[in-house]
Amino acid sequence: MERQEFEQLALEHMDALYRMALKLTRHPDEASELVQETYLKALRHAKTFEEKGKGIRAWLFTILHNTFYSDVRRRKRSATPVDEFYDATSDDRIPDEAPPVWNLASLDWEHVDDRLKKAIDDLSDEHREVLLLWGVEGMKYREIATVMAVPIGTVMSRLHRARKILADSLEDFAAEVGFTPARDPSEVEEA
Amino acid sequence: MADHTPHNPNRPAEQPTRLPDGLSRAARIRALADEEIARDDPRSSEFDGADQAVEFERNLRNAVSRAMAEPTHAPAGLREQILARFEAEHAADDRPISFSEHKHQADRRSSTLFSFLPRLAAVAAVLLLSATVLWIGVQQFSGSPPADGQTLNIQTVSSQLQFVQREHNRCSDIASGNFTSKIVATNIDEARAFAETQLGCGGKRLAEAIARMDEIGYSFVGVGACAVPGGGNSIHALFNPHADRADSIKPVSVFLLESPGEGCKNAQPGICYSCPKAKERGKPAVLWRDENLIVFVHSDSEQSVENARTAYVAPEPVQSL
Repeated sequence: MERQEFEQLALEHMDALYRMALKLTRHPDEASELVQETYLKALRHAKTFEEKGKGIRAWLFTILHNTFYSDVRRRKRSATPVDEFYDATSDDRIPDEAPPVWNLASLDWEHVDDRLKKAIDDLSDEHREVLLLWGVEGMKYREIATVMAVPIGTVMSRLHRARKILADSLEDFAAEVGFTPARDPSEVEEA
Repeated sequence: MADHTPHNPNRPAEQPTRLPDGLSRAARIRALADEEIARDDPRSSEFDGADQAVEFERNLRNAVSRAMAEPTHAPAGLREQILARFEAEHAADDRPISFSEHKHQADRRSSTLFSFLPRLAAVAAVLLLSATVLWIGVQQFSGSPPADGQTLNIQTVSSQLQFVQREHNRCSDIASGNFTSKIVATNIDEARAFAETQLGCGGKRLAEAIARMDEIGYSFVGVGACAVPGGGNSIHALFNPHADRADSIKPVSVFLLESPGEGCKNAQPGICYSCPKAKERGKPAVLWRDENLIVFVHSDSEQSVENARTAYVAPEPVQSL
């Protein structure tokens, strides 16, 4: 691939990469620097990457992911919270938890954004990252697994946990606004 | 958030994602909402009455998309900054060195060397003495005399081979689901890209090996991230004999480890190392250096190890550890 062609193709994803970088670093200057480092590494490896009709977007996200976790976070020398550590290392199995409150399907979804933003901001880096790749970038589990270099089971586990946390916050929101949920026909009646 | 990468009509149709076994009903309903599995999935009866759940999950996804969509654009000037760094990178690659600059650098190296030589000789003597003392000490603790040409840390390599064997045993039983939950790529193109991003190299050779393995009777099951000790990132590729094979060949695993540490960092290029003790136990394994990678191959079948060596164009000769 010619240099200019590669640069043009890669820069199409700059906005999406910056959005991810900002969600991870939470600081505009650091996000800009992370994106620049990502593109520099992509350029250096451009000759080894042969575009086969899909993949440059996931490839760029993978580089950004690796750069953040290997360079940026290590530089910050931030200690990993204990529950986040166990979450990241022991989530190969999908947790066998009760499903979220699916009877909130008819909630007024137009007014939940602020509540969700707060809940999302409180999530760990890995959970925020998987939500962004899934919800905003529309990636499939396999693509997310490639970007984050984890098994598909781990992707599902992290998504499960993140969605559970968000659903719990929506349940609180529903109670506050006096929303009366409909009965979920999928629930099993206990004797 | 469209991906504008060009469509390649020659790329094979995307295979459905193989989800881990043993998922709860809740997890399968979420996968259905995410269109990772289809309504006409064999176990679709479990989705009866789950419409509200699917609707909730899809509404949640849309709400997350709205909540996380900002910022929609990178800040002004970022594109120019990136292009400026591209230009600087290219300029550093392309800049020719003038003859006078080259001579200046060479003269500096020469004058520096000659003025430093006596001190350098003294330092070298101290280092040689220290290295000799260290070598004798290591041999005392290793319990075996050094063999001719032996440069690997046998104890570390042994632990790496044990890991490789255990992981192969754990994953080669496909029905267990252990490898399925590990798989990231299941075709040549994805495997190549995955190897390049995980290891920084090795993707091309892996892709070529996958093709050759298919020609000699092995299906590529997939490749995923692994945790081979004693180095940087590592990946694990698994191959199964074609279903119509009547002979006794068995599954074979190929592990690629980047930036090898103490165990294999002295592995010489152009030599394939085999482990006689592993072979005696019916668990043959070999390893060799491929640029910045160490390639480990293991199977319960000697023939499969040999086939993988051939497919990977492993070096000759074979030297025992």
